[in-house]
Amino acid sequence: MSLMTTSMLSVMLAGLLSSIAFRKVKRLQWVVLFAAAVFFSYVAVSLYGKWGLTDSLNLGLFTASFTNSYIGWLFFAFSSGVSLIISIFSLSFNDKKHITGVAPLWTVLLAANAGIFFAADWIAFLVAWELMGWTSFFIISHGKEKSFQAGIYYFALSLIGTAALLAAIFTIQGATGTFAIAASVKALLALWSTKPGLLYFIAILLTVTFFAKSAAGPFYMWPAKAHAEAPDDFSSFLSGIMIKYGVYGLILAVIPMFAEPGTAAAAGTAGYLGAAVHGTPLYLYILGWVAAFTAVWATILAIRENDMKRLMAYSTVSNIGFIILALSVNTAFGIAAAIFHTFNHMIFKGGIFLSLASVKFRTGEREMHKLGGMAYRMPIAFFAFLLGIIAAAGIPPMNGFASKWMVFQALFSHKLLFLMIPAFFASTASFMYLYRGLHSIYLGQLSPRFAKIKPAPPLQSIAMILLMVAMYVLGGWPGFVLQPVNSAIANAGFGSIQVSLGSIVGTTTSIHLTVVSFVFLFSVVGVFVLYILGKRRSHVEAMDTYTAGETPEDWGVTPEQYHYAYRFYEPWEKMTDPLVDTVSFERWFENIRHNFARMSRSIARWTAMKRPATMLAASAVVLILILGVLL
Amino acid sequence: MIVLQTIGAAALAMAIGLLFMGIGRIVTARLQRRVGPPVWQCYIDVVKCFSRKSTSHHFVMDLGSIMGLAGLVAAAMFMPVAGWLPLQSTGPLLVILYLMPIGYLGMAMGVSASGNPLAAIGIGRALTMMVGYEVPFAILLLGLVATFGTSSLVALNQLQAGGLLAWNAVRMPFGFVAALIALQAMLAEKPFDAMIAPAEIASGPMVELGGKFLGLAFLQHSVAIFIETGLVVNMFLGGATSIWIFFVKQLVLYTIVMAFNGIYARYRVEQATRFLWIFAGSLAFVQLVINVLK
Repeated sequence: MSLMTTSMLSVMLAGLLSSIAFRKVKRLQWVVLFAAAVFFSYVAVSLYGKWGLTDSLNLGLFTASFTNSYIGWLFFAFSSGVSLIISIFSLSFNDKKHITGVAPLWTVLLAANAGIFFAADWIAFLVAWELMGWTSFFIISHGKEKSFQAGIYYFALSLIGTAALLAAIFTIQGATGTFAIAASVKALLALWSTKPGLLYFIAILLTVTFFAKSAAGPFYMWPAKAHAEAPDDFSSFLSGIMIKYGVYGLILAVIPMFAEPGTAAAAGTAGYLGAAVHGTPLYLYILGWVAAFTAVWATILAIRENDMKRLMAYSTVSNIGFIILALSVNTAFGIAAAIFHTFNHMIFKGGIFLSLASVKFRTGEREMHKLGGMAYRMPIAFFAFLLGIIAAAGIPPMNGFASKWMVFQALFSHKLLFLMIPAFFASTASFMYLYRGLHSIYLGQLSPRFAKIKPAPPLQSIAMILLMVAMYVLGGWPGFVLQPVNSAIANAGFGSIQVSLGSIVGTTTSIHLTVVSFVFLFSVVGVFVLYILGKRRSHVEAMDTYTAGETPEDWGVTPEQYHYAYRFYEPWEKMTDPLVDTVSFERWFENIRHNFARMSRSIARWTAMKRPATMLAASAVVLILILGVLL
Repeated sequence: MIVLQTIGAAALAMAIGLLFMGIGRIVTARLQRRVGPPVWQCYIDVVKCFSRKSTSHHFVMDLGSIMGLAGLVAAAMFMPVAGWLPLQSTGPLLVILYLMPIGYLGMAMGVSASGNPLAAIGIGRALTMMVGYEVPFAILLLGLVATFGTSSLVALNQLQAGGLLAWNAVRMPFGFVAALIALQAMLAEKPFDAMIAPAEIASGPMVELGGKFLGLAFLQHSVAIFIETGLVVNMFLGGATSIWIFFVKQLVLYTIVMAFNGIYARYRVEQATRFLWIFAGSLAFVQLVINVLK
């Protein structure tokens, strides 16, 4: 047993013990979580360079084996780093008034997180995946009825994913005779000439699993429920890290299945032989369109949202669309772009959700029109949000620009030009909802109710500042991440791209991001000089504004009424109303749920179970598992 | 040297933009049978703005105004003017298109901090309109990539060298018309000026700006004029061999925009967005299909 398995087991044990030992003093549970995050960061550092290190764990019936692959390590290292920052935030967030008892489960979840990224065979992957699903379900529910409803929704979709994963694993085992992930994918490649149907079946099952986890395609709606109802600090983890497991799964198993013959990933003559569009396998091309519409659809829904956490959850879905879009190109550049955007998204969306958590920590409000003017009281939370949205909008000099630029260049490389139209739409329309958040929460009029609130506590501020620094540094010097990513994809056989510390060579042009970053910085300095040269300004109150000769107080208008935030984009809502009314996957799932509920109610009469629909779905999974083992 | 070059380029962009604004005011005046202000009126306005006292509601407002101009100045550094660039680069179109929004975001942030709802309404309209014109403009970019396989403005200039018939405006007429419509909206001139709408929302974003804040907004608009007309010149009118020809081409474009501005009424924002998608969008799309098939 090496550091990989011992660290996972010990953290899991620590989580379980802390739930019993510190039942009375919940704050210590959060310290345990912090310690686990520190420990995992240490593990990440000490495992650097030890690629191919293997380890196994005897589970009685099966042996779960783990390996330290370069890509897995990168995901692990990044998720551990961001977890550490979030756990610093959580230490301060869970004070007497806001404390929740989810820390032990979260600690176990961190172990599952490591398990997913280290898994070398499908058994280990499945166990870690399930552990992740269950713990996150309980964390999202955290003992509140409304959150439970969201949690059960999340859980039901997870079950669909897990069922598909199980079916995929047994099909893969049946076809290749091995549970090892890398070996089985290699073996599958040899089957393209004989059994393409079977391979498409496996690809579809795995895609359903990973799309359900990453909320892509028809599963777009669960983050809006689950991210919004989860504990506020956990939303950051959910949106920053957990939603990326699907992306990792796609890189691990689905993309390599479509390696072309002769490439390093395909090893020899085996490989994908089917139809291709502009050099991209047809199946991945279709996934690309699904991803593009995910991005567009989530953007349209985000613009209409008034709840700040739901808005940002849709924004996450939109970004997942971008990531899968880049993956679907199936080139080294596309995969590098996807991984880079994944890490960037971890950082900036983590920062945005931490900032929102800080605001909710101080005000208790989530609906944006009830807030306003927070920038004047919570400057650090404001800057975390501002830099976060600049990154999320893909504007220089923040890190989101570098990866979004790469996504576009990846699409250029295969001339997937029509696929870029929805991508550009989503990218431009994202300014709308991001600005809406900035204006409605942080700017505009400060409500007198919040006139006396304090800035974010020191630990929360430290967490946000760390993420802000990361956003800026990776925006100007993307090589810090892209060079390791480049080595990792070369290590995995996807080929490599041309990057240096500050510049990237794209398809249609190359870019020097350090220069872009400095040009912007110097422009700010130059304009600041111009600003200083102008005559001095004086300060007036925010209610003292131009109102055609009268003061707002004269008409009895309060700052709250004067804050323009509710139905901010009314013309846009009018334009998109017919579309949103007709297309709804939520209704489709609701129909399925309804029929499930009807069926299960009749069963529930015999057994009087609670939550029959979920139990039924859960027992269906168990049934499939038993059938799979028997067959 | 490089510092002097960049400062010079920024000053040039502002000076040219302000000059064009002055000419645009004369064009509008002549269409309305007025004499109009002198050409240098806009320079006087800016100097006057900077020398007057101003009020600010919060430091975010100051920061936003600074960021607003800085974003556009940074974008101008990447735009080749007749092949000349203040900094060594290839004139990357995507970088320019993504640097400009930081200027607009800065402006939006600044005026939001003023707390005036009219400003927020104006910004909301501006962003909705932005989706309207950026999408057709992006499709035009795709059309150029489909034909030439590059998104560098310097390379596009070289590819159009050799007389009128080599210009993309001639080779891609649908795209050029779409670009002109998009340009009208980018510059927020009528019929696409719902975001400013003086009679309706009291100049929208500018409502709370006075003194040097208004001066910065003026300069921001002048740089925006310089970049946006420059983009179309570089993409469709073959760039130029000398700086003066480049400015003349820009001026011709700006005069066309101002002439339309003088004779049209205002669209509501959803009408404008729909118009841009349907007309500019489909023209650009037709051009893209032609370019892909060719």
